[in-house]
Amino acid sequence: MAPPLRNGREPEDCWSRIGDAGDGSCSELAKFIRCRNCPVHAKAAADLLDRALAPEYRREWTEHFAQAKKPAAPAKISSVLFRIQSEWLALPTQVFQEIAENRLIHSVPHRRQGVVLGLANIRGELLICACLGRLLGLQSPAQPENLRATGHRLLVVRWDADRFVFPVDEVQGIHRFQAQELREPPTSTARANPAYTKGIFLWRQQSVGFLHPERLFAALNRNLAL
Amino acid sequence: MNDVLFLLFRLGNDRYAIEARRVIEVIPLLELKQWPQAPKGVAGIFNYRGRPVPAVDLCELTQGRPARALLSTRIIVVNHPDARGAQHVLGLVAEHATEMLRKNIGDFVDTGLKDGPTRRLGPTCMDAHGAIQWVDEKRLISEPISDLLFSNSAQLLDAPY
Repeated sequence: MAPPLRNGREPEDCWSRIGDAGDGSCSELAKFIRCRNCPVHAKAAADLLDRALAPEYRREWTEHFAQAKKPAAPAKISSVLFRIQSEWLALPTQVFQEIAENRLIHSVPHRRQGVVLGLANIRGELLICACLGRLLGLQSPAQPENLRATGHRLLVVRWDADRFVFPVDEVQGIHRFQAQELREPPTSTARANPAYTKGIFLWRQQSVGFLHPERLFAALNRNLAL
Repeated sequence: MNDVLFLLFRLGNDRYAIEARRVIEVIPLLELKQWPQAPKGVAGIFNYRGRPVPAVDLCELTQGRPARALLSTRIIVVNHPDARGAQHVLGLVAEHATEMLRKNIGDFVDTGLKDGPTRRLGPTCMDAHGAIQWVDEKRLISEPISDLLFSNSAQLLDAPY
């Protein structure tokens, strides 16, 4: 509990009797409309500071100001977390246009082995549906692919003028993290191709690969012909 | 147009204003390391983000009694240029350092009164609660004190808190 005021009195709380938290009969209300605009209220707030300084309070702040000032945390990076097989991955939130329900993917003749799975109808527009797992080396190209794709959600992403659709197994949602949380991808252990990974961050004790959108989309464009 | 933001504080019953742009930070009244044989008005030294900074008790300087140890008594950390133009950091212990005020410079008028044999009272403005005097701590802290504060403070804080 806060120590008592120096003069031993608690401030008179007229606002809860006749003010806007009470019956509203105070004549000053016509002028100030709300009690918080009234100088009586302001004075009561200032009087709360008229209390004795507790020795622990003084010591705590003395220790606090003896430390170097920490600069404010930089803006957080926003990303969308998703899973392909057992691998958790993330892309910057800005590249996402939509997270759509899974739907039939129309196959393209002679395009069964590469990263292109086919075409998906997104709001009446046919977009190229690519297999991110194959591009990153998470899935072997030889693995027989169901045309409904393995995923439960389709990520609709846009980079510059290119729009693509990726099926994924699970979408966790938006996750924010600080730039310093991002660590170098461990080249030996990462299952996803480290060339496309900007870094690794921890999320619920799992390491998540934060993908490099620029490299990823450049590689997708290169692989369309395969 | 010429509105200036001020930080208000009290010395005794009178209200004073210091220009907010000179203020680095307003912090609670910390534990001050006492300074043996310090001149009157020097409250001590505190560790301000790793550097020793002297604190001057404006209350003691002008009222002859130390500032009361209340939550509303605070240390106003200011940039303090000395007579030679070097910049220092100085703590001013002041009571009721809890309010800000935006005021036009033109509202402050010179009273023509003197508060010492050579110095004049600072410009003063009036509001609903009375007079507010625009104060510059350099006028309150005499040069010998200022010299003493900034020639010695570095050696005095040998041990951290």
